[in-house]
Amino acid sequence: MRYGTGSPMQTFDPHRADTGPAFSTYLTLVYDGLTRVAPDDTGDPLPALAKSWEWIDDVTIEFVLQEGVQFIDGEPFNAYAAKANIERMIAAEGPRSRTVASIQTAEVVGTYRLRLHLSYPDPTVTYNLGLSPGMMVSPAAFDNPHLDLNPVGTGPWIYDFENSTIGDVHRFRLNPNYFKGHPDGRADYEIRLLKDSRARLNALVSGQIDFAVLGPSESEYAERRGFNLSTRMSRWMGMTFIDRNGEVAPALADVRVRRAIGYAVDRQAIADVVFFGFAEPRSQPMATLGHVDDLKNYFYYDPQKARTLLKEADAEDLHFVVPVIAPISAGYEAIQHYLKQVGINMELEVVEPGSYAALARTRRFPVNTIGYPTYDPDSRHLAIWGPEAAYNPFELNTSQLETIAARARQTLDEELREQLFEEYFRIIVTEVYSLVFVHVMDVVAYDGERLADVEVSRYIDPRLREVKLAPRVTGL
Amino acid sequence: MIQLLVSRIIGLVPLLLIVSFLTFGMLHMVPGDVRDRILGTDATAEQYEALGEKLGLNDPIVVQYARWLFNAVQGDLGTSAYNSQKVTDAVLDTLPVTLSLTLGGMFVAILIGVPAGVYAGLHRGSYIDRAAVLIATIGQSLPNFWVAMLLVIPLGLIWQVVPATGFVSPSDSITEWIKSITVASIALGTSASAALARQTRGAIIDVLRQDYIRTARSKGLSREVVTFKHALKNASVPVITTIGFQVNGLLGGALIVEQIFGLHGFGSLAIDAVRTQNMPMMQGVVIMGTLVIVLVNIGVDIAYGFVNPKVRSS
Repeated sequence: MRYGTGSPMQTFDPHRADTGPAFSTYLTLVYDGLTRVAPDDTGDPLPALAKSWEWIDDVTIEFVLQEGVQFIDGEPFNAYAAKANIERMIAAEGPRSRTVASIQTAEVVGTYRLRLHLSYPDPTVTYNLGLSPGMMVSPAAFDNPHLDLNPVGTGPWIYDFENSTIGDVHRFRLNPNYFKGHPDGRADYEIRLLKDSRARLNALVSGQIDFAVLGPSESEYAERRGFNLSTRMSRWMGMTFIDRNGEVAPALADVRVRRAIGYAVDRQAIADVVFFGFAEPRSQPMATLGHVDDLKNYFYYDPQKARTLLKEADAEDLHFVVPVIAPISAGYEAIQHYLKQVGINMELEVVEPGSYAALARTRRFPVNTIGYPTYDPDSRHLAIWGPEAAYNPFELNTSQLETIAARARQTLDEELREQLFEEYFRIIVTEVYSLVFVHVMDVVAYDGERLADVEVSRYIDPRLREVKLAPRVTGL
Repeated sequence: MIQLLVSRIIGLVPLLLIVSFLTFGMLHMVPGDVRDRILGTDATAEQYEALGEKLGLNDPIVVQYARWLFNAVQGDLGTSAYNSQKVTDAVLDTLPVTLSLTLGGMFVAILIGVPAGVYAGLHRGSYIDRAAVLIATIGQSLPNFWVAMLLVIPLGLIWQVVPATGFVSPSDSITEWIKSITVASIALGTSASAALARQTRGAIIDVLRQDYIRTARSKGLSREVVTFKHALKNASVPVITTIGFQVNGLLGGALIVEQIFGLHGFGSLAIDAVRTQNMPMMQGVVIMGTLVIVLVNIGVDIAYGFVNPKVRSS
């Protein structure tokens, strides 16, 4: 199975890896987590190397582990290995370590029973252990300085280090000893890194690869050429108003001005034209947990209403600068056009992708244009809206949000969590802390004659673990 | 000649030192921080500090440079900021791809540019000459990435006579290697061939005006002998200079064309390193790029020696 991706492999050490496209493309093939995240929009934690788990009390959780599992180097997987991994993950202080900061200690209570002691009740811990922090590495490989290039896990595939080239092609062989076995249709993988979406399309059309993640214009062409498309909306495109006190752009301190921007933009046109229909107009950041149903169409296209709001706020000559990176600038150019129609001069400053994050954490711009995922509201709070969030450079007092998020973080009552996050995102949308224009679809195009079960993951790339050769190829 | 070579090689040392120091300084002035990329959005100040310590970013820039230089002179250009991949390995993995494209592009440029320039120069003012000048002007103004995007459609997608993406090493298969670089080489070589044709034409016209050509003709030598034995050899000096310039230009052009063909070459490595602020990789790419360009220029000097006895004797 030959797959073309635009996501480079940066490290095979899961405890030092972030959760993103590289995680779903490379790490999930070779590692198993204690849990795994449900592929549907619920994102519920499901059993993986842990068969089951049980909350002993609010701050203690016990996992029952799979028996008879071996790492590819022959080392057994058991509670001792799991404990060593948890301790290594905490010590490594990787990009995702804050998401499992509640874990204080790990305790072996039986060869296949592991208990985690938390410093506070944390309902997200089972979810986060299904991502990179919970992936299990052979303890014998902890000291291997090249673990980041040559992984040693328990996963369904084994990385073929000898026949791979970093930055070009990565090959994976089926793990013959995988503890769950392999269903019909699974095959070895060849993953080619093709940074340019047009190059991926060319490789797909010429039969060099069987499936690829594509941009909107290439997706439209691939569909016309008869390729199947799998889509998923996992990100939003919008603006986060980080200068709501008006230090850099005083007019943006007035919520009426921020709402005017919301009414000035024709979201449907942007979805249809800029994203070739591979996007949907939305007003809310979250798609599942934190989604507030009655705010679905909170903002709609009404330029007259926008002008009225600007007049009321006495902000008719509004000018502000927004940083964008080149790959997403087309959408913001369209927004710029709409804002001009109501008298707002939004200037775009194109910045290098590599320096964007650092710039967004300074007080240089009143707005950032980072497209955040539409799930996992707790992480979004920590990154964007919380008082100590990295992307809150103006240090706005968001104690109201922090109180709600802290309550949501520390309750095991799912219903209460839902209510709290609805309350949280009602503030985000109505007070226009962030303004969402569209939810963008990630698209994977594939040859339906050769492949089956191709579904886009939450992280742009498809869920490679689930993809199979089509029955007509295997003859089964 | 040997003296010339030795002096060039000795001159390489201060050049590389200056380039490495300037690159190091400039890279540190680039806004942004590799730690943002590695640690993501949720990192704490302590994590930043710890990673900075691990990557040596907390030391003064002079200390960082001295440490890098100390390792570099021992052949160790450092390690990627993201994993344990050696910069030298990454460069050696990618350089053959870019050099293949550059050589292929140069081959195409010489194959088209030199005969076209010679013919146009020998038939100055003819329709063919005017057509050659026009085509060369158009060819020079065509961006090579655009030519690449156009060529790949019929050759790679419709007829599929060459692969649309990817590179095959010559050590695996010479035929497949040629196929894998054909379209990219044509795309790269097009504008270089135009520049070469114009330069060759001008050089031929200049040489044909020289007294010794008139003398040779008046001695009764045939047009072929005058052209191939006297005119071409003397006209080749400026043409070799142009080839030297074009090779450097092709190396730059290859960086862009590699993206279109999904080739994991030096350009992809450089662009990636810049995008991800992978400083050790960027530093290695600049140093190795400088080295390649200087070696090309030394190669041009050697070629001068072959065609110009005055250079040999000096």
